[in-house]
Parts: sequence; C-alpha cells; structure tokens
Amino acid sequence: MSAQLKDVIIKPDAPSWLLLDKHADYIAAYGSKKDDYEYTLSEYLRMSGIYWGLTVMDLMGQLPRMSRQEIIDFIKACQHECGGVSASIGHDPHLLYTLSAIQILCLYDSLDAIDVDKVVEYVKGLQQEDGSFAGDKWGEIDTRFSFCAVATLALLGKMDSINVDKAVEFVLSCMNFDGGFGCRPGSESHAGQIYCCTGFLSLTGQLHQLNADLLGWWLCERQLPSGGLNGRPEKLPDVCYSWWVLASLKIIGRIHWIDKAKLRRFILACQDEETGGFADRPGDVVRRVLKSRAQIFLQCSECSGLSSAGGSFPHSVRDRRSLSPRRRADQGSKSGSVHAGGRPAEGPPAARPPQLAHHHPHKHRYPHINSPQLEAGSGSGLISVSLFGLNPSSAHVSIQRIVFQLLKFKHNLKTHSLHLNASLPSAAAKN
Amino acid sequence: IVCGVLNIDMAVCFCFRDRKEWADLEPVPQDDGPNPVVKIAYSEKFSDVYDYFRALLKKDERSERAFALTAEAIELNAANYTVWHYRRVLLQALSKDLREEMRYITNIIEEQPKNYQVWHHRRMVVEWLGDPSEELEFIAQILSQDAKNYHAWQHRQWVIQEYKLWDKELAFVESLLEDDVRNNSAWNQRHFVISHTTGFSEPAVVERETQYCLNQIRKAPHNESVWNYLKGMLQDRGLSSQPGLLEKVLELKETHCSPYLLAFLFDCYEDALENGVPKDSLDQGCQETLEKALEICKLLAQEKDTIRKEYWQFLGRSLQDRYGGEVSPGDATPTAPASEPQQIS
Repeated sequence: MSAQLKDVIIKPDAPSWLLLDKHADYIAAYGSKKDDYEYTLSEYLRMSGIYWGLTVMDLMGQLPRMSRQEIIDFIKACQHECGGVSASIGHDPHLLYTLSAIQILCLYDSLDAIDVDKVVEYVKGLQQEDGSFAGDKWGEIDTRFSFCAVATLALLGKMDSINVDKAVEFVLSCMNFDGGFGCRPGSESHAGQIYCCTGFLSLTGQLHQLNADLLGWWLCERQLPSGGLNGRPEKLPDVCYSWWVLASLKIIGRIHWIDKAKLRRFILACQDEETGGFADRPGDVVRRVLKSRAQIFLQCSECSGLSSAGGSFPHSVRDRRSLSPRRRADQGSKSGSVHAGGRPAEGPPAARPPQLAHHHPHKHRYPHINSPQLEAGSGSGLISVSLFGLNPSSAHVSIQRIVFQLLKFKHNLKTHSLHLNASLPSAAAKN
Repeated sequence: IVCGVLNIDMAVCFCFRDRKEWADLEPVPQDDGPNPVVKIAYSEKFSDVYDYFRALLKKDERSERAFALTAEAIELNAANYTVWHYRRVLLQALSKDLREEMRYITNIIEEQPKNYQVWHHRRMVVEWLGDPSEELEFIAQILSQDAKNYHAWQHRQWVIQEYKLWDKELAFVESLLEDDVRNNSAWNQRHFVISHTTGFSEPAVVERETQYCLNQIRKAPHNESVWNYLKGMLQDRGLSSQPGLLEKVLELKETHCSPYLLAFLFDCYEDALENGVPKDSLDQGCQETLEKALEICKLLAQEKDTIRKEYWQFLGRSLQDRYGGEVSPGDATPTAPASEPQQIS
C-alpha cells in the first residue's frame, strides 16, 4: 500500500500574488451568454448569492454601490405566507434562504421590510421533537439547519422562541469520536458541518461543551504539505475548505494552529493566470467561479489580516443587533496558564468524547474554561451557512459587478501584503 | 452540462412553446423582482422549460404533463429544490407508480451523485414505499464509483438505522477497507455499526478492534483514520488501560512510524500521567514519562510534523504545566502563547 499522502503539488511557477487585473478581466468577460446560463442555473440559491456578494462588498467598504432598494424589494417578494423566504421569486421557502435574507436585511438595517414575527414562526415550526431542525416542510434534517435557525434568531434577538436546550442536545449528539461533527448523529466528521456546529454552539453560548483541543487538532490536521486544507482525512485540498476550517478554528480560538503562510500560498496558487478566477486547487480548471470568489476574498482577508480580528461580519451589524458572538477562551500564555500548579477549576479530569456521541456532553481535555465570555469574537460564525452544501456553478451576476467594482479599487486592498517573498522554497520540493 | 446546452441546434429543439398540447398555458418568464438588478439572456431551451414550469406552478396544476415537465426541468438543473418539491406533490396527487419513481431517481443519482436534492428525494420515495430492499446494493454501487460520497453514506446510515439492517454492514465496511484502508468514511461507518450493535464496552470487542487497527497500521502506517478510530475507541476508558498496547505501539514506532503514531504515543503517556500510576508496561516513573512525552512534542514540532508546530508546542507546554516543574534544558522552543495572538496576524 502506498505511503503517498493525498495532496497536490504547487509548481514553482504558480502564482504567488493576487492577480487582480486577471480577475478583473475574467469578470469583465462574465457577461457572455455562457455565464448567463450559469446565472440561471444558480437561481435556486439566488438569495445566498446576493448575500455573498454584499458581504464581499461590505468587507471592502463598497456596500453603498449596491442596489439596496431593489434587493430589499426582491426579498419582500420572496417571503411566503408561512413566513419563510425562498431563494428567488416563485421558489419554495427554505431555512437556508431565510437566513440569507435576514442577513442581507441586517446589513441594510432594514429588518422591518418583511414580517420578522412570521420568520420566527417559520423557524420555530421547523424544530423537531429531538431538537433538530428540518430545512423545510419536506423534512431533511441536518446540523446545517440547526445553525441556520439559531443564526436567524440571534440576528432577530428571538433565540428564546425555540427550545434551545433541545437544539443543543441534538447538535451535541452529532459529535463524533474524533471530536468533529457530521450532519446527523453518526455522520462522518466534515469541515463544513463542523463549521455549522461550532457556529451554532457559539451562538447558543455552549462552546464549553466542545473539546476544543481535540477538535482543534482534527481541524489543523486538515492542512496538507501543499498548505491547502481538505475537508476530511485523506481527501484532496480544496480552497473552499480553507474557509470552513479557518472559521471553525477562529471560533474555538485555535486559528494559530494552521500554518497561515502556507495556506496563503496555496490559495494564491489556485489562481488561473491565463483566464483569471480561482480553481478549487492549483492546476484544476476554474469552476464555481463566483461562489468561490466570495470565499476567496474572505479567506484572503483573513490571511492577510484585512479583516478585523473579529471576523467577517461587520462590527456595525453586530453592535446594532446587540450580538456578542463567542469564541472559545484560549489556553492562556505560558505564564498565565489557568491550571498552572493547580487542579481543574471544577469537575473531574478531562473526559473524552463518548463512544455513542448522543450520550453526555464532552469535557475538556484540559479543563479550564467555565465561562467562555470574551471580547466580541468571531463574527465568522454568522457568515451564511449557505456557502456550504450547495453546488452552484456560479453565483448572482450582481457579484460579477460587485467584484469588478471592487477590483477597480485594488489600491485599497494592500496587495503588497499578499506578495510573497520570491525566495520561499516551493512546497513542491516536499512532495 | 454547462457548455453543452449552448450548442443545441435550435432548429431541432422541440420547445414547449411549439407543442400543441401546451398551447393553453401562458409561459411565465423569469421574474427577478420589481426592479431586476440585472437583465439576463437565458439559453433558449432552459428558459422554455422553466417558463412553462413557472406557469404550472402558478396554476398549481396537478397533471401528467406537469409531471413530465418536472423531469425536463430536473434534467436541466437537478439542484433546483422547488422542482423536486413540485414533483413530490405530483407524485402524491397523481398517485404515481413509486416503483417507477425509484427507477427514475436511481438513474438521476447515478448521473449526479453529489446533490442533496436527489438523495433526499430517494429517501422520501423509500419511506413512502416502506421498502428499503434495494438500498444497500444501490448505495454500494454508488460507493464503488466514489467510496467517500458523503450523501451516499448519509443515506446508507439512515436506511440501516431506520430498517435495522445491521447484519452485514461490518463485513461491507471491511471490504471497503480492503480496497482502501484510508477511507475515512468507512472507518466512520465501522464506528457507527459497532456502537449501535455490540457497543465498545465488551473487552472482546475492544481487543478484536485493537488487533484489527494494528494490522491495518502495519499495512499502511501513514493513515490518520485508523489512529483516530483507535484513539476514539479507547479514550473513554483511558489509552493506557489496554494491556500490552503501549508495547506494541513502541514496537511499531521502530518500523512503521508516522506523526499519528507519535501523537498516539503522546496520548498514552499523557493518559498514564493523568491516571496517576503508570502501568507496569511503562516501566518508568512519572518524570520519565513526562520527559518522553515532551520529547515527542519536540520531535513533531521540529521535525516530523512542522506544519503543526504551534499545536505540538502547545501540547508540550500544557503537559508541562500540569505535571512538570522545570523546563527541560533541551527545550529551546520560543514561548509563543497558546492563545491566539490578539493582534491581526
């Protein structure tokens, strides 16, 4: 059996800085018929597409350039009688797009545009007896939807309308023997699901239920020699997983366990020098154009420190909605170790994840934190879960315009911080 | 699929708008809202099908032609969840043959196995039929094309749990692991099956599984999944509780080493320290155990797994804080805080 690890090789001549002009060209060409078709294909996630685009613009301080009223009117037209919101006009309501709609309205401080009481009713109605959430009336259960539900309600300040304890119980029942989470109890741990669950636990103030060291280790194990991240063991790296993994690590306060320089290098190497755009890994054909783009910019922001330490959800929105999303309290420096010389603050020594994940909650590997309260933590937990789990071939054409606009303002993007030292040894040497 | 449609020879496109039996319907063009953010040109076939789909939806028409049209709409875009909803409504309203629907969804999944909608639809049909008899074989077939298809595994777990089809699953898992011992999905399934059947409390089960893991490690040492599984199985009772295991791991270290083995070894030492008295097989005092554990962290951070050096250094520091006193002289690693730096990195 081969000892070869599944990974990619980054060629020595792979792009090592952000090719803004190329991306501008790529997007300028986006108005062709082919891309219109891709646009229509993605109609079923239109609401999320709009949200991604607006997020990127807002990150870049360019939100005012978007057509605010038109978008709000669109959202209004997408709210159904049951209170749920659909991805587009004439589509059925779904929790994924309900969240995206609420997020957009929060960005625009226009929650009064739709009937939010009805939204709350819709979300509440999707909670099942075991605490889980269905995505819509057809009953698909997934921890993604648990996240959507609490994220929506947190933004509306209505978390108490659901049975939070039961919701937490269900999510914890999806914790696996490796510390990760899947979509339902017993499902394989997966970076995307882990993101949803850690975001959920952050929003419900239950991060202490995580085994942060174990999970943090599982997450940082996603990093391959090429610097890229995969979504589960023995899979190839994919640029989208960078987001799920990084965001999760951020929430649990372990983001420094990833080698950021190598990750940055990987992301930049995913660029297509000829056509512009990002592929899912170096050497692949550029697909999933703009959905990835939104993620890429978020990742690049993260990697190059463009975003604030608080993550990618605007502070203004957090303040307006009185949110204090939580991160795991960190271990503390060498001198300030919580358990230096001492016993754990309470409880028996760290227990491990149970065999049957649906039994009792986990204890810490190194028991230390009883109250994970921190300064306003990662807003990245609030980035729409719609980014995950959908297979769009592209996204809303508005994103095209957004990104084109944003690329024109490259002098604001501090590209110099992304330009790697030319003498960095290639990751290829290791492979 | 994306480029293909544009090459359709429009002369032979038998569009709905040209069909006599559809003449009574007024097609509904795409509505992007009262003030469309962008104007778009759609491919003809796509807009034809979806214009008529929207017309049917508007009328809430429950007819055979509507049912037929959902298939066309799905073929153009199987991710459109509204179309699937509508198809299910029609399946029930028209009392369609669910066996035939099973054949239909089988074909669709074979073409597009990585799509949430298709698997959810299949599950609905299986539930309505109350007949899971085809499922395990079908899923096995999909897994033979991609042994890690996350949707396929979800569906499999649902079928097995819902209809109590546990009997042959461990054997199935083993055959997959024969094909690829690094298939993390299969290892997860192994845990799933055992935890829902015999459980992991019986010593005989634990012994058998431990042996199985060690054998797989010998075949392919660099395998995160098997080590995760082994640790996951043993961690509740404590890694050092399994007699003779540490010895075997130390043996393997000489010939089949990997970062995962070293991490496991660290966990064994940590467990021994945590439980107070080192077991006989350790044959060393606490201080020696601590030193060995710290050596492992250093080895991993500096040589064997440098990409995760922050993590290994953190582990070493934490262990030292808990059980140690002095910093060992060899430890020249910088004292980076375990906590995330407050400034933007």
